[in-house]
Amino acid sequence: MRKIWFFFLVLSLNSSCEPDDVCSEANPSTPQLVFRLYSSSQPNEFKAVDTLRIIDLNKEVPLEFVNTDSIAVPVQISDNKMNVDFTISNGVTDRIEIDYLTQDVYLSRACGFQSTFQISNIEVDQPASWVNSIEIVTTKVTIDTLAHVKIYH
Amino acid sequence: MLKSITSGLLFIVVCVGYSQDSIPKTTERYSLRLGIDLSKPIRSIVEDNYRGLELTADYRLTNKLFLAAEVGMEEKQVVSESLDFQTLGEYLKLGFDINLFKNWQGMENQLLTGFRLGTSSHKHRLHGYAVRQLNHFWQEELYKSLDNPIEYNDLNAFWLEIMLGVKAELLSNLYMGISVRMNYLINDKEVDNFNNLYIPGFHRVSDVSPWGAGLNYTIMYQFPLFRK
Repeated sequence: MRKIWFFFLVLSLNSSCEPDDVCSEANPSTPQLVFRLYSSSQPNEFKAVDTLRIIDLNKEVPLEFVNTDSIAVPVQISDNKMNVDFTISNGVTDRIEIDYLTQDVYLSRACGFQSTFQISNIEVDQPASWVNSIEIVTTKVTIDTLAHVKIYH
Repeated sequence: MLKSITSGLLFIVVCVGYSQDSIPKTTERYSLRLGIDLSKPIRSIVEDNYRGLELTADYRLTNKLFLAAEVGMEEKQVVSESLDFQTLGEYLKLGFDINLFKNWQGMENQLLTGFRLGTSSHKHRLHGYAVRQLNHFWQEELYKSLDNPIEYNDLNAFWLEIMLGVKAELLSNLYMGISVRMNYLINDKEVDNFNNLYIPGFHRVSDVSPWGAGLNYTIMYQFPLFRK
């Protein structure tokens, strides 16, 4: 009899601290849009930039990438289009316009939902200064470990 | 030899004599008890986000065995940083209780252990949710409040409860009972783009374990049917 009570006591203590109440860093999140930079003269090879900056709306906290050929940009979830200004080291800027559809997917009790995106259109404002051309690898943005868009420069 | 036979006979005679003097065989009452779980109406008054009602019944089958059932409804709203949803539905639980308590003659209290099979019919209403976004580059509101809640209808669940409780006769035929239950979720209908985070009768569902817990606090009236 005492054993049964103990069993219930242990289980009720267990349920009072719930491991599913916490959303940890390791849990999935809303994917970012991933660009890979390729050489326009040798389209199969990556070509890095020295510094690439993306200024936000308030021009305060820019995203900065140093000596890389892979760029991840957060997608604006409250809209279905965004303009991103890519500025390379010598102050040369190109604006890329992206149109997309958003779908929110359930994650868990603690993490809520994530947004996923479907790219409907992407283009560079003309005349372009440093970007040569742009190509969609996949329109589905559900994970951000693989590239979605190629930039040739 | 003769002596041992006569003493044996004497022993039997004595035994027979005693047994004739012994207390006559007692009969026990067999009854149907109907009641209500008091904890749910109390919570309905105290908690803003909860409404519930549960009716209970048990029927004595044998000396120690009872057939037991609960039927109820619950409405529960859960509001957190990441989700704001409401669960509404009904449930039915059926099972058996075994009395472990040896009463003094004429008393009918029970220390019960038993199990239930539970099933629910329910739906969820999602009123709002947070989009998980680690990078705050766009400095935008990540919580989406839904003017028209998303409804997830026609859901059900099936579970097993192991229970432990007591029932004591306070006044003639009026019983008070309390029980604690461990629930094990066997099956629940998958929700498209959401989850059964709460199930009426089962209560909170964990993301990481099939176990849940419950408690009821009943007041029951006994209708004696016959004695045997």
